Amino acid sequence: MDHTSMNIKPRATGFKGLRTVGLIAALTLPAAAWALTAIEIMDKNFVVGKYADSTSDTTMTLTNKSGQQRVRKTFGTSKLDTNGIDNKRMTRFLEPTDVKGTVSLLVEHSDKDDDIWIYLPSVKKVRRLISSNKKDSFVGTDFSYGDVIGHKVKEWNHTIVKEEDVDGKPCYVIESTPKDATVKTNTGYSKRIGWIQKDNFVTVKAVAYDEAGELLKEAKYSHWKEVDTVKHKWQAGTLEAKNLQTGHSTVITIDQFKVNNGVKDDFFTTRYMEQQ
Amino acid sequence: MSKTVFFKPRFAGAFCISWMALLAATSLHVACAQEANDMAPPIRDGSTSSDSVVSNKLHSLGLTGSLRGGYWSSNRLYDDVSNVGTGSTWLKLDKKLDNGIGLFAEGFAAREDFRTGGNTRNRVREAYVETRSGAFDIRVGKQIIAWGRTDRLNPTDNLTPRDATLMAADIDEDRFGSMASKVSWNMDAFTSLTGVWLPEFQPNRVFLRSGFSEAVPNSNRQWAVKLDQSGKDIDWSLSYFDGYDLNGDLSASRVLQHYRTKVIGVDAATTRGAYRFAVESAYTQTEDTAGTNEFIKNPFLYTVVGVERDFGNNTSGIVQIFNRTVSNYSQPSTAARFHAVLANQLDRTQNGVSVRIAKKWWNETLETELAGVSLSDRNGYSVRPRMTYLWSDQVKILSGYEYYQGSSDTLYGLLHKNSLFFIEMRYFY
Repeated sequence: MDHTSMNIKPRATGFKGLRTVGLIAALTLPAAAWALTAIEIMDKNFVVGKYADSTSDTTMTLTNKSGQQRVRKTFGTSKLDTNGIDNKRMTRFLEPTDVKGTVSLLVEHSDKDDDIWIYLPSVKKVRRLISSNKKDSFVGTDFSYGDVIGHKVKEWNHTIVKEEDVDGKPCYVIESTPKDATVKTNTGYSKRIGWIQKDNFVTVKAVAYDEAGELLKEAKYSHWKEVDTVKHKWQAGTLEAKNLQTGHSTVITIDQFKVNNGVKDDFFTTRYMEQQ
Repeated sequence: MSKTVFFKPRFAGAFCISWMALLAATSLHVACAQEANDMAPPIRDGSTSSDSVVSNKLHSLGLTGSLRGGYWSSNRLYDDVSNVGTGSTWLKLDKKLDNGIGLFAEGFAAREDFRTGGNTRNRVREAYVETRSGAFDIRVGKQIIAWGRTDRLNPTDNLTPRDATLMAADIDEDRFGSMASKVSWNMDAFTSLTGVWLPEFQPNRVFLRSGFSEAVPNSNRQWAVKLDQSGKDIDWSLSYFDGYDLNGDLSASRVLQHYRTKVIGVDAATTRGAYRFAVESAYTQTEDTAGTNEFIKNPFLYTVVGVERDFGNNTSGIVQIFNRTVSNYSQPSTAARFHAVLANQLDRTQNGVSVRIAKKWWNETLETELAGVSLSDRNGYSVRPRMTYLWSDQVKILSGYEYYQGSSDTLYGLLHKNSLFFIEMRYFY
C-alpha cells in the first residue's frame, strides 16, 4: 500500500462516459460526500471536536481481564486557543479517595511539545512533566495521551482504504501510518485505522497496531451529540477502548457536558491546581 | 536524603479524638453549603462510586480517609526493636463553602508496635481555611508549605518540618504543618508573589538518644517570601526565608539547638523532548557567619541539578548531582566532629548523586521504584526500592525496603540501624 498517496480521486473520473453525470452529481451532492481526500477528511475529523471551551463531569470505568473494576470520577475543563487547534485541558480527580485532589493541566502546542503539569495532594506542589511521550496510558485507562489529545494530522500519512457502514451509518475507513520513526515511537502506533462517519466526520470506531505491527487496541465512540449546532461541533457521550493484548478495557462516560460557557483562563493555571 | 539522624518521638498531644470529632462536627455544620463559586473545584452531592453507605455519607460531608495496618522489620527510633506491627486511621476534611471559603484538615491516630505495647501517636497534620479575593489567595492555619522543583532533595524547602520517626510508608507523609498565614498575589496567570508568616516554630522530629535533649525556640519571628512563575517555557522561583533551622545543631552539652538562618534560594525546571531539567540552589546564612563556633553550622551553599528521562512504557529515570559547599570552613575538632557529621559539614564540600527509576505496570495498578543516594567523597549511601499495588479502589498495598550503609562519619553510616523492610495495607473510605 502506498502510504504517501493521500489524494483519493473521485471514482467517477475513471469512467469517461460518466464524466458529465459525475459533474452534475458533484454539484448536487454535499461536498462532504464527494471528492474529499483522506487528509481533508482527517482535517475535518480533527476539528469536529474543537469547540471553544467545555466543562465536563466524567466517569472512567477500568476493567481488567478478570472483570475487576476501578472507577474514577473527574471534573474537567477545556479551552481552545485562538489558533483553533491547540487546547488547554484541566482534569481534577474527584474519586476514588486515593487520587482525589490530583489535578493535571495539559497545554497543547501544535508547533512544539505540549506542556503538562500535575498536582499531587500528597506532595503539596505542582510538578512539570515530560510530555513528548504520547503512548503511555492516560491515567491508567486504555486510551493513551495521544488518543485523548488527538493525533496531529500532519504527522501521519492517510489513505482511504474502503467505505462501509457502522451501525447503519456510512463511514470512510481511513488508514493512518506515522510519517517517521519518531511519531511511531512517541505514539506507540505503527498503524491506526479509523471509521469516520461521512455525514459529520466523527470517529465512531478505531483500531490501532503497536510498534511491532500487532493489533493492540480497539475503540468505540458512541452517543454523539452536536454540542455546538452553529459551528457543528460534536462530542461523544461514551468512549470505549479495549487493549486486545492484555484484555483490559475502559469505558468513559460523559455525565455532564457543556460547551461555549466562557470558561475562565484561571482554570488553566497552577494557582487553580493547588486549590484544595 | 534525610538531613536528620537521631530520632526523638514527640507525640503531639492527646486531642486527636476530639479533633476527629471536631472534623465531623464542622462537616455537619457546612453540609448544606453546596454551591461552588466560579473557580472552586466541583462539589458533589455525595453520590459516589463506592458501594459503602458509610463512605457515601462521609464523602457528602467532605470527609475521606483510610484504615491502615502494617508490618515493619524495625521502627525508625534508632533502637533495637524489630518486627513491629502498626495500625492507624487517617481522616481528611476537604470542604468548599458557597462563599468560596475552603476548609481543609487532615490527621491521624496511630498505634505503633503492638508487640511491645509501643507508641500511640496522634497528629493533626494540617488544619486551615483558605479563600481567594481577586488576585489574592489567603490560607491561614496549620499548613504544610513545600518548596522546590528538584526531586526530593530540596535546598529551598525550609519552612515546615518532617517527622523522621514516623512509620509512614508513603514518601512525603512524614511532612506536617506549622501554624502559618500565607498570602499569594497572583500578578498574572503565571506569576505570583507569596508571603508567609509563621507564628510558631516546629522543628523536624528526630530521635535523640538518652542523654541528649532539644531546645525549641518559642518565637513568632519567622517569615518568607517567594516570587514564582509557572506555566511558561520555564518554571522558576526566587525565595527568601528568615527563620529557624529545622534540623538544629548539636551542642557540646548534647543539646539540639535551633539557630536562626536566612536562606536565599532559586529553582527552575523545564522540559525538552523526552527530558526534564531541574536545578535548585540555596545559600544559607547561619548565626556563625565567620565560622568560629564549631557547634553552629557555617554558612553554606547547597545545589541540586537533575535530569529526568522518559523512556516510554511508563518508565522514567532521574539522575541528580548535589553539592554542599561550606563557607569559612575549618577542620572540626574531635569534640565537634559529631556535630559536623550531622550538619553535613565534616568536609568543605560534599558531593553526591541520587538516582530514581520508576515504572508503572498494568494500567497503573502496580508502581515500582528504585531510588538511591550516594556520596562521592566518603563511603555513604542509601538504597530504597518500593512497590505500590492498587488491589482495588478501596485497597492499596505498599511495600518497601530502606537500606543505609556507610562509614560512621556519614549520615548513612549512622542510619544503618534504621534499615528496614515494611509492608502496609490501606483501606480507603
